[in-house]
Amino acid sequence: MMSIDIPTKDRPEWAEMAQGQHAMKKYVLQLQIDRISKKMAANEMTVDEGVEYLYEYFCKYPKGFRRDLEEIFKSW
Amino acid sequence: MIKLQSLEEVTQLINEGRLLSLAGDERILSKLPKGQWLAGSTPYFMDEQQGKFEQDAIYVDDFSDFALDQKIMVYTPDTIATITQNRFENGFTFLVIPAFSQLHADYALHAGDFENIYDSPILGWVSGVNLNSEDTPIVYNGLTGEPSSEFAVAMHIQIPEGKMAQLEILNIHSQDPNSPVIEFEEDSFNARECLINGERQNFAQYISNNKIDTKTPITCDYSGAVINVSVKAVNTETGQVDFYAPVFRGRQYKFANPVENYAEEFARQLPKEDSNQGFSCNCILNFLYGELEGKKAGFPGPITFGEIGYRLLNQTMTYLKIVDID
Repeated sequence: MMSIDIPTKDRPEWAEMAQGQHAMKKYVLQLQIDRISKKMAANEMTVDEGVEYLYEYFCKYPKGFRRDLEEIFKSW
Repeated sequence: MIKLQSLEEVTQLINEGRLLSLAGDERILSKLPKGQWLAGSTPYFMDEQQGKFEQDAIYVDDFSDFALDQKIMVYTPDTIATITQNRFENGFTFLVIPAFSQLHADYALHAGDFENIYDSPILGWVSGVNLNSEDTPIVYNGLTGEPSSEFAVAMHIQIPEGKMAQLEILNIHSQDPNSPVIEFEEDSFNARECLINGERQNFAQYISNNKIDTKTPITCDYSGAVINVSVKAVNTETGQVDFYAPVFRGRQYKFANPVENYAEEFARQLPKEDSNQGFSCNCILNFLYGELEGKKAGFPGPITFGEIGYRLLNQTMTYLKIVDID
């Protein structure tokens, strides 16, 4: 049984997401991932900072992106 | 609600205090009373049945039923970057920009870098004109009734808790996997030299030599989102290619696959579960190249000189859904 909250920040899937290793379906998530991965490629953001940014973003909309998170994290 | 309405019908909606996004020819928009509305000019539409050229009716989207609060604001080139700071925490921003303005160019080049741009939907469109006229694209701030060909008008809308605004796109133009990779050296609305599969070439000459159909856009993959840049003009004498949206340095572009039948492609790709969208718009280039006048293609909406889905888009249907998340 999953809670309504999002997966904990120490899950490796967050770093995978930040690095563009998971295909996102929603347009806004594609753009978010693109922005983060571009910044990391340009050394303007570390992986940890990318994870922090993503985590905070998903915290704002835990219900709205629940299905997207379930596809990646499966359970939490 | 019927999307294309008469001046009298829209006037009544305004006088009832409805919160409206409007699109129409400037001659009819200029007759509207002040109220809670914004508008942009275009005489091209996709209504519930088919694509239309219509100068005597106004296209209406009514946001009243899901708006808790709203604020209509005007943005200049100096203030447009602050648009993200004026949003409600839960809601969306509807933005209309006049085509060919400085603000149009600025937004296209820089919106992707606006602070927290992707935290809440910013959608809308670039206003246009009758292509067989000398008109100027304009937008209207309904609060004052003032038109502008230089400034943008935005409506920030707050929606109730338990609901979420989701912005999606439908791009019928897919990347050709056999296309060469094209890279540009600067962020710009035009280009001469570029790298094609790593080799420096003149882009206009390459397009001409290879008989590239410029009705299909060049495309860039933004982590799964295919973003188009439409070709405006190719001049082999000067060697310059002009675009309707900027290309960006550091990005890899590819030519798109040709689309045989735009209307059929929209019908095939249109998401069935998203039929209850809050707003939609589509591009004048899809309308023209796909010969969509008299044909049903995509969701109803104004036909525009650019679509706004956070950033400036070309040849892309953009739409907003208000979904329940409880």
